[in-house]
Amino acid sequence: MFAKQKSINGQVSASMLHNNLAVNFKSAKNSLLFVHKSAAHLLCKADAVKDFPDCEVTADGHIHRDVVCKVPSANQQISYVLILQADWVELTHGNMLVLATQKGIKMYDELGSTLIHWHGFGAGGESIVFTKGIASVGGRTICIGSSSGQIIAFSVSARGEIVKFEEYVAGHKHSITAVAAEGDKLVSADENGDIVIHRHVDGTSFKLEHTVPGRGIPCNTLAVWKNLIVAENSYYVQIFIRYSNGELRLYSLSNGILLGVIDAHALSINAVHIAKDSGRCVSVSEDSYVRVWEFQSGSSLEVSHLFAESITDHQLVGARFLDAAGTSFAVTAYDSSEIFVFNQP
Amino acid sequence: MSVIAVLNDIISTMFNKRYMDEIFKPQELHSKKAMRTVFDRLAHASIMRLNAASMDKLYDLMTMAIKYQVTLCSQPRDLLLVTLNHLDGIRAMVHNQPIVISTLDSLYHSFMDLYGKMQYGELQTVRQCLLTFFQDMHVRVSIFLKEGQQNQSGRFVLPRGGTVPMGSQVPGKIVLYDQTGEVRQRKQFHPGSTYKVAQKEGSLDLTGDRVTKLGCNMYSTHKPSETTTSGVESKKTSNHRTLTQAELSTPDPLAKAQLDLLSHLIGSGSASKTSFRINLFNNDEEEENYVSPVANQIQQEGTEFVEIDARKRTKDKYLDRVMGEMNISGGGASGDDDLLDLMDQA
Repeated sequence: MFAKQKSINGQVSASMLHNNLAVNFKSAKNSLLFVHKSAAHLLCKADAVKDFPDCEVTADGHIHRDVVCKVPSANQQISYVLILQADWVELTHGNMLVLATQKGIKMYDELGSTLIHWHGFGAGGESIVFTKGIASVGGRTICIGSSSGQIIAFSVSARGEIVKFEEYVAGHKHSITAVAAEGDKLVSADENGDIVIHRHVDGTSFKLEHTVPGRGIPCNTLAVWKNLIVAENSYYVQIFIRYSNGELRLYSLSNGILLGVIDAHALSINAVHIAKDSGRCVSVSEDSYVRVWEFQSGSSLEVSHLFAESITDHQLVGARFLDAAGTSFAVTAYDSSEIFVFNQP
Repeated sequence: MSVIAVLNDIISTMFNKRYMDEIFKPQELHSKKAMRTVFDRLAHASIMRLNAASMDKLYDLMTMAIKYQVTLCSQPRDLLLVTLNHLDGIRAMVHNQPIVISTLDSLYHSFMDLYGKMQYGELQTVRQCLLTFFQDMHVRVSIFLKEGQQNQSGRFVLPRGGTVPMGSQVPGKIVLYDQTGEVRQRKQFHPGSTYKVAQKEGSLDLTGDRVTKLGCNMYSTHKPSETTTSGVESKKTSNHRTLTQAELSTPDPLAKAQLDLLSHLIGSGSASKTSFRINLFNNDEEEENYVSPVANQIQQEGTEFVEIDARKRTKDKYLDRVMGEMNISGGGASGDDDLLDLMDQA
């Protein structure tokens, strides 16, 4: 089904985090990134060389750069801040790079070279100790999950040069772990496993639509997929996924009803990602397995297990498809600089 | 009795109330430099002395052992059980020292008040934080290599298959529901490895079965059972079993066990010898050549160490006397006595 290709050397190791691999689809440069402690480590294709004349191109054709998160501390020194998640968000004007950290949120242009917005905690009396979960909704709004259980919403100007804090979106009682969006729906999950579905109304406000109660076990990764096969009742069937301790659960995005449970992995699942055009889903776990599933949304949802491979002695932390059809994907592992690549021959 | 004094000194320094109060305050992750300093002080809290190279090796051994335990936790709650295994191990060493035992009791309560009350998600964050500290440390440890727990590249060997965490299902099943919640379809898939469901949950009580062996004395696997009474039974127990009450109940094995534990704490010792054996390096040449990857890394991070050249051999009468006291079996300075060598070099 899939065959392991030559790995990409990431140069630095990936941290033990959830969703610790991102792919910039929109960019022809097809950049990848993962978090290494206080740095987002970016790999650009060599044709980005004109943007970074100082950077060397590696043998496998990549330019490596670190976007380091540091803030001034009390005694005039620089302190390094741990990043909990880094990802690109798709906006109307183009993509932006967002870092969710212990001390605040950093937003850059897609190359990570220009800082556009810094949202530090504590200034407005916020009791936030970390942020986690990055998504964009409607092309002009960036949503970041926070430890206080609020989603922090920012609006982005038409050309992307101005980012403005808009509001705290309530709905969770526990620290938010993951955020995903599809159409006008914003889905967020927290450390209790609660899942909340909001609708973005008129591009300005969020309306809470459904809450799916959790069971005390965090839901650390989410994927939302709009199935493009028209269902019998002539509207899109939409599903999203959460995990609890090796389990993948499938819910209806329209009403929060449980559609399926997959006993997918032996240990906690650190990342899931769905290829938009095919409904293929990749999941990775600390049990060293990467698995690929296929979802079909005809009159009712169908699920099949397509592929599994164990990457020996690697606890997997990130996974993303490299194309919308789901014919290739990349995987990262804790404490390893290797980016494993799988292709469908 | 000096051995017990060494143990007591180290344990009471480590669990000193003021120090523990500090440890339990909310704080950022220690830097590697700070952690190393704490460990240096702890190791030197007693009359025992280690030279710089041995200290490096001991520190590497300790960090890799903890990294192993935190890495292999199958779920965040295991962090608590690993710590309780550590405390149980210490408790077994000092079981006839009521003051130290009461310190351990109060430490247990502080620990459970803070970490025992944490939710799954918080413990998960704690584990991620710890693993960030240990990230990029790949020192190869001989006992791990020998036991097949670490591969040559320094990565830990992860079990493929085996018991899933308590409350989890084994992989391999897909269940689909209809809109009313009725099961619509059940499917199986082959998970690729063989898994089984956990039968028992580790106890978080003051004493109890922690179930996980992570955090138990990892050297006890090399130690043949010394007590005839529990001989048969002990063969059935796990490889990573810590010292049992039976082994500690008679005076002679007790002294041996404690010596053993202390030497095991520092290096791979052999329990069959009654002499105090700390085997950090095979020979002088190896010691001269030993460059601690971790110490190296710390230095690269811009830290300067006070260099103590402990590699030059100088005779020290005080240490000779200490050694005399420590040699409980009266084996004297035989050529095989590595601790003598070690102390000699201090």
